[in-house]
Amino acid sequence: MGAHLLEPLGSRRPYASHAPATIDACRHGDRRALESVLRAEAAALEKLIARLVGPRADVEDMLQATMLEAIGAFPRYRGEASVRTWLARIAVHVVHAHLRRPEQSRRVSLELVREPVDRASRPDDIAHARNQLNRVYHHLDQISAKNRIAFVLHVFVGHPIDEVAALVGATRVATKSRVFLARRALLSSARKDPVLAGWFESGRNGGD
Amino acid sequence: MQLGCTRAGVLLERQGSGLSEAEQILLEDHLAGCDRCFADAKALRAMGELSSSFAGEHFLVEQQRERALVRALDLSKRRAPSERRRPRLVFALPLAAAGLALSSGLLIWSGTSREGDRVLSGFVSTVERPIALGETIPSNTVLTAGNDATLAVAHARAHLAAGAEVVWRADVETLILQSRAIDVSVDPQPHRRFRVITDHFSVEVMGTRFHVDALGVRVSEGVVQIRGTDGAILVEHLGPGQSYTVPAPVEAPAKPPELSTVEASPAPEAPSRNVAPANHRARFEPRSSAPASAELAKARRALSEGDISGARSVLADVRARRLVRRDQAEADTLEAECALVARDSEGAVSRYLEIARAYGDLPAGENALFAAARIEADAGHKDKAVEHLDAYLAAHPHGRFHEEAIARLSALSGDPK
Repeated sequence: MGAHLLEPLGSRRPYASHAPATIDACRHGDRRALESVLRAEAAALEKLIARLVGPRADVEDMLQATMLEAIGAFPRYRGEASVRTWLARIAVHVVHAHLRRPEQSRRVSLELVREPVDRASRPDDIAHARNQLNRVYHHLDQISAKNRIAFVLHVFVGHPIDEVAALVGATRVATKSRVFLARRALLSSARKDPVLAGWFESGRNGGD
Repeated sequence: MQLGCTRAGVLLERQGSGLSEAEQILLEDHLAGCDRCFADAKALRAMGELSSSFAGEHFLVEQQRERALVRALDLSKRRAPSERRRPRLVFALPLAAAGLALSSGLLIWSGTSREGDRVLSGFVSTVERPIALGETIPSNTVLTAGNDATLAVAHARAHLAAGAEVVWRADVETLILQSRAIDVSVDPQPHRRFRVITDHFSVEVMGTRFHVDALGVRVSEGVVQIRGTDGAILVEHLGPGQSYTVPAPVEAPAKPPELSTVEASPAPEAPSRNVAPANHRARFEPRSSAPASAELAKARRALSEGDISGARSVLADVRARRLVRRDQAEADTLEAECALVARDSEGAVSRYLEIARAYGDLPAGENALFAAARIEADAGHKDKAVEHLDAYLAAHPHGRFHEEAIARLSALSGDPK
């Protein structure tokens, strides 16, 4: 499935892609250093946030909130994980807080969805894929934020359970439970969705 | 070894992060014989691929990422400069003080704006021009909502009723409501206070949803604290479904006002603006342990019920005690309010000016000077009003009523702002 966004958390490489001097400067609030590090990580963070919340208008807001939190937290960054992993934890935290806000509109803004199929596809297919994507995130919106995040990180993004547990700050067992509960809830509601019905047909051509 | 559906489901979850060869074989065996798990596997894979394909390309354009970065850097500068610059604080202190004085002056006279503060929906305009959707909101400027509109200000969303007038002060993250009503939703995440000020009270919150108009506050979620214009806590905790009402504005002495009433509404959708039953009010009595404060609160309650003589009687008792300066200022303010409620505008102004002179360093002094100016302006005493407003702006250049004072001064002198 999706490519890994993060390096393995187990590796003790504090400055995977940034010079130690740059990281030290970030800790001291040096604007240039912060700009350099955050600019380099912005694309990965954006991808992670977009995977977690789906295609919605406030991805940019969440990216900004993540960067803001990171700037404030840099003095406490101890270098135990790579900067990217550390930033990903902050992003997960920001997304979690965002998803928990009851006033959040959970509607996917279709006009913002990029074409989720290859460019050779027909317009009908593109529209259908958009609709399916909309429905998938609609069903994910019905799942608790904790379970949803663990599920997306493990199943959609492809992080091992241990990494997900570290990212969400939970035990391995709790993380496995969250993924299990989210999968059960998602499949249960998706099965009843006529837009997604084609995926659940028993035909085995094109399946595994 | 036979694989059950539960175990197969767990392996399906792990497919993305990798299965061992043995696990892959077991899973394939199971899927070959179980239609339901096969369908689930197909669906999960399709969902994952769909999610991956849309996020595979960048969702945001480069410009949006850059904008988020610049905003984050700018906001962080305002958010905790002392924390980030602590190691160099000793050397930077004199320079910072000078910079602060200079920037404060600039803030006052030229206004500030932040890129994150913007119009999200609806039609919003300043006196000079309309503000486009997504455009940065000017700070320290009166904003008028032509229809229902939504603003993103600091870590809050403010939904303005049609015709609502607000002033956004980005430097202190405060929204000043001048007319109509707003619904505010504050994100608790940044752990910063957000304040809404009206003519008669202010609401301070960390994260909640509430409705404010000139007459009161209704809380939908979370807890807010209500303070009077003198900074005194009127309601320590106002929770979901509860509301606070100020039926009579201070500057309208034509009818005897009921200054402050707190009520617990049965439902947030249907707030009553009547005086609440005594048993409800009792829940919100100030929790101060100081007897003088309790007595002052008692006087304020009496005044809110129109019982001027009762309030004065309590105040006389309080004055017999030895009061700390803050309580003394509160007692004097209540005396001035008693005069106002008794339609003795002249007496009220005189008392307010005394308070302003005696307690210019306290919030009560600032409020009193502005109240005196407002009463004079409302009474049509233009020269006196201008004199008091000038005095207010000179004494409190960072004051809470700075914008309103300038607006009133402009109106009184007939000059555009």
